[in-house]
Amino acid sequence: MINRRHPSESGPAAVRLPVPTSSSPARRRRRTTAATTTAVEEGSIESLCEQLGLKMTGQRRMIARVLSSATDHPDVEEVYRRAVAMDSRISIATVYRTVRLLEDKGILNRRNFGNGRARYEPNDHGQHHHLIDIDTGKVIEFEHPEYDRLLRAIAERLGFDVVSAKLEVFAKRAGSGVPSAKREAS
Amino acid sequence: MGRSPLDGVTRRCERAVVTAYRELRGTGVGDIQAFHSCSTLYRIHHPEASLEEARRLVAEWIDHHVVRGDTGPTPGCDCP
Repeated sequence: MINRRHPSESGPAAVRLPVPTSSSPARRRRRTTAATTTAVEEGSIESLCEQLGLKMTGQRRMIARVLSSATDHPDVEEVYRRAVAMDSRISIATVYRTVRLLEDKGILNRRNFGNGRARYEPNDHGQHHHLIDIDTGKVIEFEHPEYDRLLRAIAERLGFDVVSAKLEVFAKRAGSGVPSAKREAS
Repeated sequence: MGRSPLDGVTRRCERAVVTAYRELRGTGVGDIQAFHSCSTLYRIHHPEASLEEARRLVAEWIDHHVVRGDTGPTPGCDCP
């Protein structure tokens, strides 16, 4: 199993752990993109929008940059908080509208990690899955080629080809559910 | 008498949402809180709507009327 990254979902001040070498080129490019950079980087959300012919207003461009530079899975309010730190005139309504537009255009993927808030990630970094720590909300991305092969084999046996499969594992850190005294005794 | 920016808006729910957003912001309520209040207001008009649907429309309307100051038609429900 390949652990892709260990982002925190708690906001911009989150600790960013080292990026594993298995990250896709697109994600590596995004990590090097500062939200305030003015040039449009190839493969960024901004450049995808331009390729699709979307009208890029200044605020839409900024939201695209915030999303491109995110290494976690922000919800709309988190995107808003990051954008408003750069331009206090931006509105949550504009962020909502832009995020939905990007989702409709297939640039963003919406993910639901169980707390009722949709979270978003760019739709450009290949097959991967998520493990959600139910105590802290942290999300760990991972790849598991054997699991993917197994899914393909199951689908094939049933006469289908897998088009898309996303695994979301809700988990507690090993041992965290057991009282410490009990752990010591065992 | 001057023309109101909502003169072209025929939906009662849309007028209510945009007016409430403006007034809430005008009294110092934060953007996120005002947005959520307006989503709730929309669902009072349309209890059949999901929260997601309400947020989507409220975002459309606020962005259209308040942020961009547009006066053209907006997507939305069929209510009067």
